[in-house]
Amino acid sequence: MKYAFYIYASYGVTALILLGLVVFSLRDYRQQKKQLEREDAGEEGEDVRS
Amino acid sequence: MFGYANPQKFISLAGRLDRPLWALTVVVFGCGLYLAFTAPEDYQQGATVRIMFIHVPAAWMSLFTYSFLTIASVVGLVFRHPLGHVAARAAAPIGAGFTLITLLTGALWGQPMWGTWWVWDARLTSVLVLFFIYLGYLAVWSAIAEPLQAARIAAILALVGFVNVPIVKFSVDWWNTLHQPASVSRLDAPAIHMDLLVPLIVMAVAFQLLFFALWLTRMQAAIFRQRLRVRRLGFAEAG
Repeated sequence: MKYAFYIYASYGVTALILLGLVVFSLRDYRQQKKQLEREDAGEEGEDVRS
Repeated sequence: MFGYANPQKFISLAGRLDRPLWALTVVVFGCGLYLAFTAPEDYQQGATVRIMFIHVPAAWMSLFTYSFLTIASVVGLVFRHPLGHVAARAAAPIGAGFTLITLLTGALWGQPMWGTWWVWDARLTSVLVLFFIYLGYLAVWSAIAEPLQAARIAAILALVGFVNVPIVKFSVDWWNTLHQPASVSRLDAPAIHMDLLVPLIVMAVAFQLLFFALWLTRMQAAIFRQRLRVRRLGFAEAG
């Protein structure tokens, strides 16, 4: 295929950027959710003890 | 509709929508990529026409996302809605990503077609300006510690920057540009064959779905982050 380098480079660059966005967004979401659940669990523990 | 503007209700809806949306995005992307690589070659551009199936949807989405960001900023600034600024901030990195894809794939398409990676014509320059506006918007959020102040300044920047959107769109009509004029989004029929139009539309739908999937995920993360911040502020004051 003529100009194969340009075509594959375009799809490669696009995949990199989109995957980067997806990974970053999902990681941030999971981190925040875990932290919130941890603090919720911590609070419930305190309520039970008190 | 405005009921879902309540953060708790929004989280509840988003939690139900995000997995099906991600699954649909993957399926449509799969179909789109299959169509893109099995589409016939263009009689002038040959196989490089396949770059169009990512470059054009990315460009459309970069403008859509900026418009979305501007509307969300207006909702936050004018109507003082709690989720307005959050929605705008969640969309910004996605829009910046799409704009970067537009610029890079444009250069990779331009080199074999025009014999150059870059020209300072109206379309390319205005898209580069759009990318810088996205970066500026994100920089405002990073630079200002006080969230309310950051939100206001970022929203004003978004509103001012919106003037660039019609410039990007109509640059090929208003100036003598190397970049070709619109082939699809025109008042009369698209100037593109169905064999190329169908993969283009499918990829555009895939990009649109990806935007919403990413945005919903980022919105949820932002609302969780806000809750944690409010809680910690409450503990600090109580302590």
